Formats: sequence, C-alpha cells, structure tokens
Amino acid sequence: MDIYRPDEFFKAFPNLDPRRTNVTSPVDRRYNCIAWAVGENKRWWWPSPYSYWPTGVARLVTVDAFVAAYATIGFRPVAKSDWGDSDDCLALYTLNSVPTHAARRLPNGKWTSKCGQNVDIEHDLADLDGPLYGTATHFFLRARR
Amino acid sequence: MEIEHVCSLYARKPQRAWRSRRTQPDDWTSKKVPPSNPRVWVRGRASLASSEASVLRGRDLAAEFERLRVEWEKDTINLSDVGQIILHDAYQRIIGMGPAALPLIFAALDAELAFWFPALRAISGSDPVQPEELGDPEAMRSAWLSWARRNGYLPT
Repeated sequence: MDIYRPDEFFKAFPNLDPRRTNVTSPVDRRYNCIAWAVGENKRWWWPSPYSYWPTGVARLVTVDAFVAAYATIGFRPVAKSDWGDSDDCLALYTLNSVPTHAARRLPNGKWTSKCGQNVDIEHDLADLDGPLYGTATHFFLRARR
Repeated sequence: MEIEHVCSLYARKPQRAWRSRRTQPDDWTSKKVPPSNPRVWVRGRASLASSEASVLRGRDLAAEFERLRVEWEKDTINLSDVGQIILHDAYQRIIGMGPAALPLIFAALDAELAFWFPALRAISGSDPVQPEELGDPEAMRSAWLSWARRNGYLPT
C-alpha cells in the first residue's frame, strides 16, 4: 500500500519545489534517512532502543553521537567547502542543534534523501530547510570506495 | 456520524471523570498524592484511558483506533526520530487503549509495516524481538506477527 500523498508531502517542506524534485522510490518503512545516507535500505538507524545503532556509540540524539556513528564507517566531519567530486559526502540536518535528518550527495551534485518513513527524493541541499528538519549544519566525508 | 459521536465521547469523557474524581474527598488524586506531582496527571490519564477502552467496544473501538492510526501516520510519516514517532499523542492514546487494542494493532501490522513495536511491548509486556533483529523493521514485524499467532491474536 503506497501512502505517499504528494500534496501533504510538499506541504511539510515549504522550500521543496515539486517541479525541481524527483521522487525516486515508493514509501518504504524498512529504512530511514540516516541509513539511506550511507546507502542502506534494510535498517532503521537511530539511537533508540528499537533501532540499529553502531555498537559502542552512545544512544543519544546529539550531534556528537551521530558524528561517532558515522565515524564507525569511515566518515569524518568536514567544512561544507571541503569536499571533492570523488568523495562520498553526507549532510546532517539539525533543528535547535538536535539531529533530525541526513542526506547523501550524488555525483550529479544533487542530494538524495529518505524522508522518514516516506519516499526517497533527489533535491538541492537547502530544499529541505524548514520547521521539520531545520537546516544542514554538519557535513561528513569519506573517500569513495 | 457514528465515528464523530465516538470521538466526541472519547474527548469529553475523561474531563467528566476527572471532575468527578476531584470532587470526591477520599480519592487518591486529591489526598494521597500532592497535586503538584506530575505523576498525578500521568496515573490519572492512564486509568482514564483504560476505562475509556472499556467503554469503546467492537466497532467503536476499531473506528477510534483507525482514526488515531491515520492521524499518527499522517503526522509522523516524514520523521526518522523514533522518540518523536512514538510520543505522538495519537500513538500514546492507542497504547492507552490497553490490551483491547492488540488485535487491531496486529491486524494493522499484518497489513502493512509500521512502527508498532514499542506499543506492542508496552501493552503486552512481552518482546519477541531478538537483539540482532533490532533496527530491521521487517524482522521485527515478523517476530511480532509470529508472537501474535502463537498467542491467538491472528489466525495461524
């Protein structure tokens, strides 16, 4: 059952323009943005007792915990301007300094996001800025494997 | 119309019950626990929700469950934060329905994967999910549906 409702979806993200946004998957509740950012589509990454979280990393919804989680698979924090075309790059969105969402940069310069339990989309980085996710504040880099 | 009536009943009833509790001098909410203690509200609300489930039966309970399920899904569909997802008011009210909600939750989970696991654990007091299955929603769903069949909530 696909529960994707375009009108409600775009209402949730006021800066997301339907004409410039590609919806690239159906609704899938098996994985979330934090997992999708690192290319996983079978697990739900979150520092909760009901989710996957890398062993040894604090189960806290803090930037430090997310930095540590992504470090377990080789991503290191960088400034926004530090990435090159040959690197895997992630963006972590925060709202009031609390992590809410992550996106992965695509080779074409756009970003791919899994929006919670909802669809995957291809978008520009600032398109998801708003009251739900806040804004992209932290960036991570890993040499492409 | 029937659903609206049930919903209005659901919304008003706790207030009536709360007022009647406060007017009874021997009631624990007014004497045994200081009113400033937040547990008064939590305990009072939980007991009221439970009594509400005893009022809502059969089709009424199913209709209220479906209304809350849709509201929860609509409001949390774009979130990754499990805490935000399961602290949604509609989700908490479903938990407040108690064991009467279990057949409805299992039917919903059987039809479609959704994050019902904390509610199932809270209501049933059980957790059939193995540690290595945490974070794999499809495996968690499978574990809970097997549990539901073993315990008579779903046909085998």
